[in-house]
Amino acid sequence: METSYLNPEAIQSLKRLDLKAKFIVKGFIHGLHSSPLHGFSVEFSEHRKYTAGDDPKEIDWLVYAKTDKYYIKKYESETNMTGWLIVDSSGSMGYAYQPNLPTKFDYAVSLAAALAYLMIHQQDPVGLLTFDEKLRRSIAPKSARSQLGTILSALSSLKPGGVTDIAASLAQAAGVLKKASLVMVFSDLLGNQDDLFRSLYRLRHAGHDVMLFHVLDRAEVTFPFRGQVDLIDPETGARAAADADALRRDYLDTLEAYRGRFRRECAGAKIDYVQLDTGIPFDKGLLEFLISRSQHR
Amino acid sequence: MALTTSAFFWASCAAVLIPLLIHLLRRHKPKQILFPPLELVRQRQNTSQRRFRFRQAALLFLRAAVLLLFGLLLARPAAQTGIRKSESGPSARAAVLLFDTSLRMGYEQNGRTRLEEAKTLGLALLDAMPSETRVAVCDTQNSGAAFQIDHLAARERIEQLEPRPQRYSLTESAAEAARLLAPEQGETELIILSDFTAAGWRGSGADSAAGILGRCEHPPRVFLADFAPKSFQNISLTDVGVSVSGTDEEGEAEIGVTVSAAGKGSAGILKLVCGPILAGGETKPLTETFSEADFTAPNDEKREPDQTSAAGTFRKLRKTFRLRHLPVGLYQGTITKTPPDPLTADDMVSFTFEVRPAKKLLFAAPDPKEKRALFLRTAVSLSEQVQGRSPFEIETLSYEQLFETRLDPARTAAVFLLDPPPLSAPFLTKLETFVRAGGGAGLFLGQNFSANQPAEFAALFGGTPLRQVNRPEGTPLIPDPGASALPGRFGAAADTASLPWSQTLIYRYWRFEWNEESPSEVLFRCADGAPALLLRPLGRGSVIFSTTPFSDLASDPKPWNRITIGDHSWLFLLLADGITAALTGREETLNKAPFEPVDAAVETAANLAVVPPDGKAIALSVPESETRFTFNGTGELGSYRVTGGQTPKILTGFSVNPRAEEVALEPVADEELQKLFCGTAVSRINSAEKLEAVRSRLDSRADLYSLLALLLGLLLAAELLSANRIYRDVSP
Repeated sequence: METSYLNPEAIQSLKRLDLKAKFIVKGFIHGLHSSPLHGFSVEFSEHRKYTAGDDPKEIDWLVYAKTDKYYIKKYESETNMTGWLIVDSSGSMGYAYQPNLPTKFDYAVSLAAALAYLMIHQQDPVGLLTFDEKLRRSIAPKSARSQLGTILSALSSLKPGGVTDIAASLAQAAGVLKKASLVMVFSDLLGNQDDLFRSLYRLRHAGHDVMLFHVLDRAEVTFPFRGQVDLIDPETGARAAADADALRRDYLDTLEAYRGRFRRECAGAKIDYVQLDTGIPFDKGLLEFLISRSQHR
Repeated sequence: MALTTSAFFWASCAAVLIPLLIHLLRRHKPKQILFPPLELVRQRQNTSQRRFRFRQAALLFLRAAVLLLFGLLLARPAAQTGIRKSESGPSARAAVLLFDTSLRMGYEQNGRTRLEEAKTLGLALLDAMPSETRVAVCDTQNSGAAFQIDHLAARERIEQLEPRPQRYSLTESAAEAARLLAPEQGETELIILSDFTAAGWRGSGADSAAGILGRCEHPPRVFLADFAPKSFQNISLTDVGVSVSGTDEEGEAEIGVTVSAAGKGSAGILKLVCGPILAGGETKPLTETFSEADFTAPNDEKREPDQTSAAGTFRKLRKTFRLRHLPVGLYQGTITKTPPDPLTADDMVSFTFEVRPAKKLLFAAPDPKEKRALFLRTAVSLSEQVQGRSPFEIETLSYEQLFETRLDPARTAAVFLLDPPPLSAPFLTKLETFVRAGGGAGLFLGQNFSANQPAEFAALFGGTPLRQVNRPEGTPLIPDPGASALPGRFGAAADTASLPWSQTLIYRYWRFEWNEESPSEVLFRCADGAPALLLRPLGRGSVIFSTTPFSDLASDPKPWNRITIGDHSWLFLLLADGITAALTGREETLNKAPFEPVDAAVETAANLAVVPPDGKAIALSVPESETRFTFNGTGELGSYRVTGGQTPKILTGFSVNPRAEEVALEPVADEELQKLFCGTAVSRINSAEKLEAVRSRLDSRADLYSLLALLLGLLLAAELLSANRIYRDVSP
């Protein structure tokens, strides 16, 4: 598996979401040089005697050294950490300025699919929520292998559209999620920041681990436009005419301040904030995820 | 502030439109782009737009200012300081810069000639003038200067000035400048840049300049920039003269040169190099006649007054070189003085002379032939001796002897027919053949002549005799009023104001019917208008024709005229000199002053060309049948050669040397200048301090230039910073 598949442009060429998820994860693992899939989210349970048919590599050689008998280690899956993938499917997520790069939505879906793949292979239950101005679709978390197909099928069928109200949607999700879970939010976070933070705090107060994947288009973080432009909001149709050359510096400063506030507020609320754009390889999101998981273990 | 070349400034004004147009043209229709984070854009939209527009405007302003300032620098701005303001006057509308470009201005001091100093100041003055001031640059070389508004053209004109032989005196040039300024309205200036030597201000034109300036409605302010050093030293070689005498085989030449010392006394060596001109044009040095002569310019106190100039400060002496046993031919050479001094133009003189075999002059007269020929024969001998030429071999014949004599131009230079009898057709034919082959024939008609002449007479002399005319009361012989100048050495006789021609009365003369188809040149007339003395070139020779004789005896009771006798018979010497020179072809002086016309005889006029000292031949357009040529382009010093013939060869040559007054450094007195500019305010800048004062005032222009250059540098830096900032910001 080539790590080049972590590049969004390469993944973009794949049509099937399951393949995308698989390629992203395999490429990521290839880069790590050790598999996070085995023994990562499980804990030691007991020893039992080795019987024919058991895998010899599971033999605990320390016990053999002490007792001169073959015992194998038994692990117990952690069942109280449920993963929720909350994906923004509003109209703004369907935006891509450069045609060779995925839309924000495609990027978010690919990353969500990869994470679902990872978690299900760890036997963690994973569920899915999608929203625009409110929650739209919900798939209850399961750890069965068939769950991956269900989630990927749901993600594949999603089309971005409608206006966003992420604060309301997350608040609604906080009411839906009863059990403390790992909540992974994929959105461009365009909305009222104060309301959004209130919703995020609510999730945190409900005992959820929150990972905020802030996905922006490459053009939204570089502002590559020149000359006179008439900027149009795809969700509301609002317009702003400006000289792009004049605006660039100020826009980038504003964006940096916007994302900076997310960093500060999330750090204070112990929310993992992952800043992404559609030009960034997927491994950054995956790595952030793994680090977050290990910290919360 | 004034602009020297305002065109650059206006061009830069036009160039300012370029960034403006670019700025306006860039305002194209906005491009529609979907952009979800519109709220983030709106937060700073107004502020950034305002700031960006301000920066764009600032950059536009800086670029326009850079263009404008660049044009301003090229236009050479000058502050309104300098002479005008220093003299508390308004800016001049027209100014004439008159440069003395005479050879004197080549005097070198501290590594720079006077003319170079004058050009430097002239250029500074030009730069200080407002751009609208009309400027004319005059010099002593050329006439017909005109005003130019374009100071660049005036600048180029000044830069091209070089010390050259003087064609016009400063007074003539000042008169020309005054004529230029006279019609001008408003303030005008005449700035004369010269070394103000006395000789430079002599000559015609002084009264004219003063008169013109005096009549001006707005007399110009006159500035005299004096570049004469307080002390000077110069030894000049001038007035080269060559006297040649010869026999059939070889000749002797005496070459004299005047050595004049100005300033401190000095000694030196004169070196003469001379040789015959060879076929290829080279001069073969006559090593056996190579000569040197040392001299010492004596101190003032020891000189006799008659050897000093009018001011008593210049000493002269004449040094002579004698060259013997010279074969017949054309010779050119130089006399050089060593060591050289600050004025090099007069350290060398060139000379040309020709050694010819002696020829006969045949005088034919009725009996008593010796007495009849006495006046003319004596006058010819005297004039030739005075001119230092080789004496002719003069022979007096009776007409019977003359008719029998073979006329060979190789042996006989000219035939003088004094009061001839009727001439036969064979003799006239023989005489015409002789003239066409290069001989000269003088015909002086008197009482022995008859109106019945064969047709050959009219062919030879250009007219048919009609009858004798009596003027009992006498009619004076006068130079032809219709002729602007008399040819050859007759020119000296043309001064009717000084010479008493009215006393040379003619009582009887022959009236002719003149051939209109081939007219002769009338040199002198009777006061009643009848031609008296005529010149007729024919073939390679010439005919002089007088309608009254020069052979009357003093005892004749009824003389035909009183030209050869009487109180003013010395005028006859002038006539005889001219006649002899015209008939013998020896009137050419081969050593000329600059711009003096050369009028000389040549064997052939085919492919005639003059080769000046610089070797660039000048072709002369002369009909092949002609045996004389006139050349006016003698503005270069040195030796010239004249070539011609079907197979070109050197025919003759001549040399051009500076006039003595052109290298005389004696300064002019203030009184003399005041006379010239009487009634006109004159400011003479005659000291280095004053010159420096003028220059320092003019330096304000240089300061302005530096200031503007500094400002331009700052603007460029600001433009660079501003552009960098904007384009760094706009780079995605």
